[in-house]
Amino acid sequence: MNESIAFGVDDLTLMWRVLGAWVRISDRTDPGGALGTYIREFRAVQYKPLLMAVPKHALPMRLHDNFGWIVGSPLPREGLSVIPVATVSVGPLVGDRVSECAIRVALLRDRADLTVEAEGWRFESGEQPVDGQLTPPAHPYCHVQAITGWDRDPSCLLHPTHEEGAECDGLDPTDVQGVDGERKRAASATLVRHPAFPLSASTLTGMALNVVAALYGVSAVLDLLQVEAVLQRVDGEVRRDLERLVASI
Amino acid sequence: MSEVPVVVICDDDDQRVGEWGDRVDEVLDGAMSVVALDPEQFAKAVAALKLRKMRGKAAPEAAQPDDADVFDEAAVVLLDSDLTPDPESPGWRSPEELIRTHLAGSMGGDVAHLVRTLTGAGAVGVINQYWKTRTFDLTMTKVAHEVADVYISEEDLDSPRLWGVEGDAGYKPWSWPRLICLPDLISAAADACNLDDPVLQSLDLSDSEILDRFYDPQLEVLGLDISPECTFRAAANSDELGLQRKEQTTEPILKRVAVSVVRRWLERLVLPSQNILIDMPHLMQHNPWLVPDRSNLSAWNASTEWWYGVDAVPSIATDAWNPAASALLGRNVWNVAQLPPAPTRDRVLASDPVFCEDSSTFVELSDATDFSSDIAGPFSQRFIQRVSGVEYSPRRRLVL
Repeated sequence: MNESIAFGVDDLTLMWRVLGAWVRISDRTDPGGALGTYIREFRAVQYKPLLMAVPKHALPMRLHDNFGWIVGSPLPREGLSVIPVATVSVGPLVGDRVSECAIRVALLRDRADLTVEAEGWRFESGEQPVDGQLTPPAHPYCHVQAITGWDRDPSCLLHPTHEEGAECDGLDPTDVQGVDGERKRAASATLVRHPAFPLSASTLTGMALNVVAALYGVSAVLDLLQVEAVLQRVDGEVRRDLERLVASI
Repeated sequence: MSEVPVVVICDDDDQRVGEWGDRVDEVLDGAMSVVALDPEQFAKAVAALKLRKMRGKAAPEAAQPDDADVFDEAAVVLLDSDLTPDPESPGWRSPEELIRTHLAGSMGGDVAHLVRTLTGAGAVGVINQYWKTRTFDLTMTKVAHEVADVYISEEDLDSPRLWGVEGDAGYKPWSWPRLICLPDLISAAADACNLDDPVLQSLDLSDSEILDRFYDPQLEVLGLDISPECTFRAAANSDELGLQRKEQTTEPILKRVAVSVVRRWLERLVLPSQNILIDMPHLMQHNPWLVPDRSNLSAWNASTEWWYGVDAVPSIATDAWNPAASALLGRNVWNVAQLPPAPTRDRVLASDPVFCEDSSTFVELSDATDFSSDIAGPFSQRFIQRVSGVEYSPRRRLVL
């Protein structure tokens, strides 16, 4: 019987291929406005296109290492420019398996005050049992849930700009009575642990494909496959994850 | 009178150019005759080209024969890149004399430009410009804006697969033309060329659906971003690929320049990106359901439809086939915008092979290595077979 590749180094490499292909098919058109300014600054100062050529020997990375960002094509919204950005965290190897992995996605859009606001989600691997804890983990499967925090540094795109190293949650923490205050209260009702929506993925590669499918739909997954001939030729568990998304096409 | 086409080989080293000539002569086996110009003949021919340039005239309208006639009569001209003799070479003399009698201090690429723009030569190649040993360019863009039709190392000179004659498998970058066919292809295109015809319309690439797919840099090279009506005459005078400012040539040679410019633009800046045109091997790789006997690897490599003119009309996706661009490139190509959609639920399978750019061969995925080229657009990922004896540069591209 073939050994599972799920969460192994081969699976991790295929996940990078998904994310690298997402970068390749993404439209780099400047969205203009405050959002365009942020994106331009981000590209000029921070963007490391590591996902296009990350050395194999550098994998897997430590959890919370900064890989640089992915800037995706704008989402199709009428009269509104919404740009998804993403980062990836990969946990250490335990045996020959990646212990945990998370792909954080934020949707950036302009506000009327020429600043940018963001909503965030975290696509992540199943939670692991904690030693000594009797209750099983709530989400032992790949899932996605909304996030309020985005504790990446030294800086990020999320509004408002903040001190280097300070937590940024995409909301203005000083805005108790205004727009962000209300947004923060509303967000708190659904965060941080529930709901966590199960993903149709049993592999890291499948999880990354779910990110693309969630943002753009299945046509983007097919576009992505067109430019990644290795992914087109996957078999086994990764193929099953892929087919769950594109089976009807 | 049936004449055997002539290959003219030029170098600054008398002994070496003779050796190169012998090797090419052997591989062509009489299909073409080979002339190896000694350094002084070569220098005289280039001096004649410079005179033509200064007089603003090219050979067919020149009153008197000159030493550059050898290029006019050549089907293929191959030029060494570094034309300064080595101090150890048998023909070494004082630098002052070598500059006077030879081409010391000159570069083959510059001579290639003169040959292309001032003579009726067929194909033009440059030897050893980037590498002296057999090396595959993993960027796949290094010669994108260069003037010659082919760039090779001296080790490639007698490769049967460079010339398109019978030979064993092995190294053959897909970007190489079939050199033995290229002179006739250029001549036929030049004969049919109306310099005042718009390029895109002539190549069946002027539909708005196709125009929208071009990347800006692809259009900018020929000024098509400003004027989609760019003619062959304008293309021949394009700054990057054609005549330089103030250069003039005769109408028949201008047609050859135009054909060469548009051909190089198509082959190096348009076709690789696969946003406008796609050739047979890449079409097969992306659409394996088009391959008859798909499960048989030999069938993938046995198609006779990779090159233009072997069969009358390719048997697949005929509605999207572009005969005008195919004839100019010498390889069959299809308009991407007009390709039929993939049949429902047809998938690329793990068993489908991939096309290797260094050997022009389909192999199983497990026998190939993928790399990230510098080709514009999302189709930058390509495969190589890692042929023995070949260097791959830059090597870092092979890390992933």
